[in-house]
Amino acid sequence: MTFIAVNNVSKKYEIGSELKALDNVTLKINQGEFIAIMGPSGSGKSTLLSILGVLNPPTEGNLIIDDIDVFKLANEKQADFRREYLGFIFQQFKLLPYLTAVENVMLPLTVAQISKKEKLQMAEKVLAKIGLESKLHRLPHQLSGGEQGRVAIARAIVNQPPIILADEPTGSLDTKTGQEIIEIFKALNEDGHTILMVTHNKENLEHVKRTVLIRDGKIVN
Amino acid sequence: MGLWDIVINNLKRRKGKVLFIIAGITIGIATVVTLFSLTTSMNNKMAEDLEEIGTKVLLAPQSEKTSFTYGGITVAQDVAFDIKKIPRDILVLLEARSEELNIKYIAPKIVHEVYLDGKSNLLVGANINSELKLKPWLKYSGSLPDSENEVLLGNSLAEQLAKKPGDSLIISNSNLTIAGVLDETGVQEDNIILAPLVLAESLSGDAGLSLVELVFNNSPNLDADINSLKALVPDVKVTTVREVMESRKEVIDRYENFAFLVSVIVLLIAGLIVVTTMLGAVNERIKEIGIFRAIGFRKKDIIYIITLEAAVACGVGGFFGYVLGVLAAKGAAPLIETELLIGWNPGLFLIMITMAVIIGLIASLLPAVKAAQLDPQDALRYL
Repeated sequence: MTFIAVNNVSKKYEIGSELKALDNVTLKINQGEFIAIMGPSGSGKSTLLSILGVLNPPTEGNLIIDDIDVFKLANEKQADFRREYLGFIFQQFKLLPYLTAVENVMLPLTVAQISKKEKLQMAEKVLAKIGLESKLHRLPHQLSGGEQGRVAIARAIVNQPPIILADEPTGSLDTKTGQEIIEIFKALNEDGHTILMVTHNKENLEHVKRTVLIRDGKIVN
Repeated sequence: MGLWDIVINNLKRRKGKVLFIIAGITIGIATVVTLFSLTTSMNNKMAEDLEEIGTKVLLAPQSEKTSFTYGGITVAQDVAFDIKKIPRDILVLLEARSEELNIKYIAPKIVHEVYLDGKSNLLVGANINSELKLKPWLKYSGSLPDSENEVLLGNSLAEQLAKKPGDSLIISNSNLTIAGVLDETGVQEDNIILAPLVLAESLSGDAGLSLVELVFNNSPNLDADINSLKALVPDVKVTTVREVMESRKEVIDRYENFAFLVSVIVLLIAGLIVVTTMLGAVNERIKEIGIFRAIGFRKKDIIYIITLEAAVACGVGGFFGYVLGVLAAKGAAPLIETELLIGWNPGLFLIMITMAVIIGLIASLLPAVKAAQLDPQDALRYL
């Protein structure tokens, strides 16, 4: 059953002249899929990810997730939707430098109506799951690249979203550390998370269930 | 972790900006507290003086000719030239009815024109102790006259004659001693010779009184009491005197208006400091706000974080501003009036803290709304 439906989505930008970042893209994704989105720079893959992340409304078409036409939701409801359905792993991980590992992980829970103690327990549990139980109170600059990546993953999954969106999660890591991150993604996928990952790294493709190739704003496979 | 923890973390992290906001609000609130404390204290002092002095009424001879003023009202010309006087037995009448009419003090005066160095001056004969009670703002250097040949000299007159306490003064062939010199008042007392009533009587050669100053206890029946007095002495002109207190009130009112204007301007500047600083902080935090929005923070959460940060910083500024303001007022009070009392006022403290927090909330609203309206996609472009 289709969990995410990208229906005839186009995205145009006006930068002097009109630029069509996505051109009539249609994509159906089932729950539990692990998809890699690939393509050359400027092909539209990051635009597609931002639309899937309910951050960037399409110019045409719609996005249906779990039978919800998400861009028809009011702005604040879209924020609620992101919190409930989506976990983000940004390029370079983008941890907040003034928060410790456990505080960064607790961030998506900040506005949740649960106690502070419960939030802490949830964050500690997730960090333990990815092997960082001994580094809960380290600041990001006190962690290695791989550890920062794992904290970013923990932050993305702490509130148990069904969908994880990752933008070049291994781009800044060495091969071995990148491989460790992909292994975590595989484990999360086996736990039932739907994962969409923008990547340039062809080595990652052997771990995913499907690859979507984008060129000039169109899906070509 | 809650939104409050993010607020505290950010305040700790951006010490420079936070200190700038605190300094701006501290100066603003300190200015308001200083000016407010001083004007309140001046008003209280004046109210105390008024209460202590009561309402003053001047009895003067009836005359159609007028030429000089005493105590803020115009007195008949005849008085100055010692032609027409109030009969002395009026004092007996007033003493007898003083309780009934609510009269607190009776201060008879003989005003006599004397010549010093060829210039005309007023010698005012009075019961000097009563006079000083009647006019508590009159201060002097030297001592009070304790014999019939001693006088107090007005400040300007003493300067003009180059006289100081202990010097002698010859008036109408009488050798007098200057017991003391009045401090500068800015009013008529600067140019008079204040002498015991007996001396003035002997110099003028007339037992009649030029004026009688009466002080009434402040009471709801004051108008009725004054009307009764008028009925009691129909041949005497009865006038309510406002004089120095009125001019003091006017000065304080002007100072109060000035203080209000300065306070508004300073607080506006403090508010602008908060606005610009918070706008700068928001611009620096676009990436962070993008992350917040991407992971599901609502616009109102962003507004809450930004406004709360400003409110906390401004609240701290309000605290320091209050303390600094009271200390500044305590330091400045003696320069304005020696007897001004400046104290710690918990009510004013709470008002100032609240005002500072409200300034923080209002001034940070624009930056907060700007932050909340950042398109998450635009914010994430910086990632």
